[in-house]
Amino acid sequence: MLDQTALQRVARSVVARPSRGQAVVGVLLAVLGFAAAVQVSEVDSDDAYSGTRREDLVQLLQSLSVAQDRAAGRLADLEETRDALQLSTQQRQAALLESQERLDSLRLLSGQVAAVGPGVRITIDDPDGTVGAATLLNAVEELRDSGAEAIEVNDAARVVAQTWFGDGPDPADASLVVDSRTVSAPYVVEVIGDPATLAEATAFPGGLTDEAEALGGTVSVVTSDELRVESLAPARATSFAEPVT
Amino acid sequence: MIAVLGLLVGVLLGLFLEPSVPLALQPYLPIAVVAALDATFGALRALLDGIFDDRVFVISFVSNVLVAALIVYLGDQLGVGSQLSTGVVVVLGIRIFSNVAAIRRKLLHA
Amino acid sequence: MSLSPPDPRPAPPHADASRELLARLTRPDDDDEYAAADRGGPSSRVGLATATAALAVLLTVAAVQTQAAQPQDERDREVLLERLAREKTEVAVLGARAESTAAEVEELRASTLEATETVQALQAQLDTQGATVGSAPVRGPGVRVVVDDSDDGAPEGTITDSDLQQLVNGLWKAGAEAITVNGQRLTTLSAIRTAGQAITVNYRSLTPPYTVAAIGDPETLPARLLETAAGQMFSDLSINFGVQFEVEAASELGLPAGSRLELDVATASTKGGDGA
Repeated sequence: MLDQTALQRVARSVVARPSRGQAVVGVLLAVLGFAAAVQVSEVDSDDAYSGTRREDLVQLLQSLSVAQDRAAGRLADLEETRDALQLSTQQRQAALLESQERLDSLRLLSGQVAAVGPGVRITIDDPDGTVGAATLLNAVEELRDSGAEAIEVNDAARVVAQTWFGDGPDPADASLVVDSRTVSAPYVVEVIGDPATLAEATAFPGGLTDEAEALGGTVSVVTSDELRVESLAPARATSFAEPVT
Repeated sequence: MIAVLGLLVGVLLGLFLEPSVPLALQPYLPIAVVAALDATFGALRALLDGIFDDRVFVISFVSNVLVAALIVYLGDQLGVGSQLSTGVVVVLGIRIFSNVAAIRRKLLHA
Repeated sequence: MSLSPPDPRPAPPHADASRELLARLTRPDDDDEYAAADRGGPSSRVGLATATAALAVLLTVAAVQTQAAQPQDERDREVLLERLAREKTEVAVLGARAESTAAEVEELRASTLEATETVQALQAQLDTQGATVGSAPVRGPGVRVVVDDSDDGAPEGTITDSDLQQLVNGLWKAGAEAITVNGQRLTTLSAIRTAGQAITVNYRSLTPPYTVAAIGDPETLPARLLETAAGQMFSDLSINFGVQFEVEAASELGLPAGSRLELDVATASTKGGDGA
């Protein structure tokens, strides 16, 4: 398949005696080899721009500059968005915290959570069973008027807005009904609020102490720095009342 | 024989001496090498055709290199250096291709 | 014999020009020279020498000039390369910052989405609690009770705070869910008292007639109220002393929110609901 003539010619030139022509060719090829080796090493070196023309470098610089402007612009936009989002997040978190605190205090008011704070412990003795619901109702209103924030009776009945008082089922027993729950004398009413004001609420003329004693009972009031109102009011479903949003 | 030896010596010298190319010549060196390669393949083809002449080889080698470098140098002065450089390399490349093809034809057919 | 053989196939006419160009481009021009030399053409040694000399001169001049400019060229190039490197790092840095900022924005957006749900849930709870506690205005069916002092101004016919307390107590017992007295919403902190001659609710003085609006079941509320001690007491007062006492069901009552809802000293306790 290989052409014999051509191969012969190549072979002849390879084994031919060195002549002037051969020497010249040899030199030129040496130069070629040298230049090629040098160029290959140049390209191989670390400098990525070794052969690049100045004008190409300038163009590269310009396009990089444009890219940098674009990148800076994009970064500025993103930072603006992020700052705005951070601000609104902070605002929302503050609002959330406020709402949560509001909810906590509402739940305290509705008797869904236990409460703690300074206040008074009022003990009403009723040996004759003559202290009635009306007296207690009066007392509760007077206490509320004096800043009562949480009230419970006999560690069992939490008094909230919807709490109603009734006379006990058996008139012979000294008992009362609070929200369908029967409590027996002595009635221990624990009230959280300003202790001095609350104590005054029971002591003023015509107040609880006077009224109870007129009925044959006794009232003792003890102030406290830390009182726990831990009974919870029954959960009330609002079937008819709808919040107006 | 000397030719092949010359090539080898040149390559080895280039690799071992590791000369640093002056800044101004850096863009022209690859052009020069490709132009020289074009002349060399032309010579190889002439050898296989039986019409090789060393004088012609020298002239074509030197003139190829100089003309190619001159064209690109002119281009640099005019501001179209990269483009002319590309053009020169393309044309030289096409010619190398056609010489190699001719060499292949010569070796494989009659 | 050194030229490529002509293409035997006929070429399409419109391709001729481009074919010729390509042929001219790809045909090594050394061919002609070698062929000429082979035929024994004249070789001009002098011409060769002159050409070489001229070229050598040109090259030397160019080389000298370039050499002279080299230091400056090198400096220029270094400056360019430096700026190039700097720009590249700056672009990379900006890119990295943009990525991390974009990630932050994504996180913030995601948390905003989550938070919206939390806000809504919280709002729903607030509304529910608000209805019972009295912090939210409510509306619904119920009963309207109007009581007034008797016309003759007699002391037995004058309504006292105790009377109103009893009436409200009775309404709660009868199943009321929310109550107002003359527009004052009753909350856990609300007190019905007397100040001077007037009855006060939420520290606001009221004047008769007293309208007590209660939201609840309009069908059972009135009857149950009348069964309570309060209902009976008022019925007696009405019959015996001319106190006005009207109870009528209402289909739609709107009760405003209460004004007294702030806690000063009480805080939520973390312990559960067992007695201390």
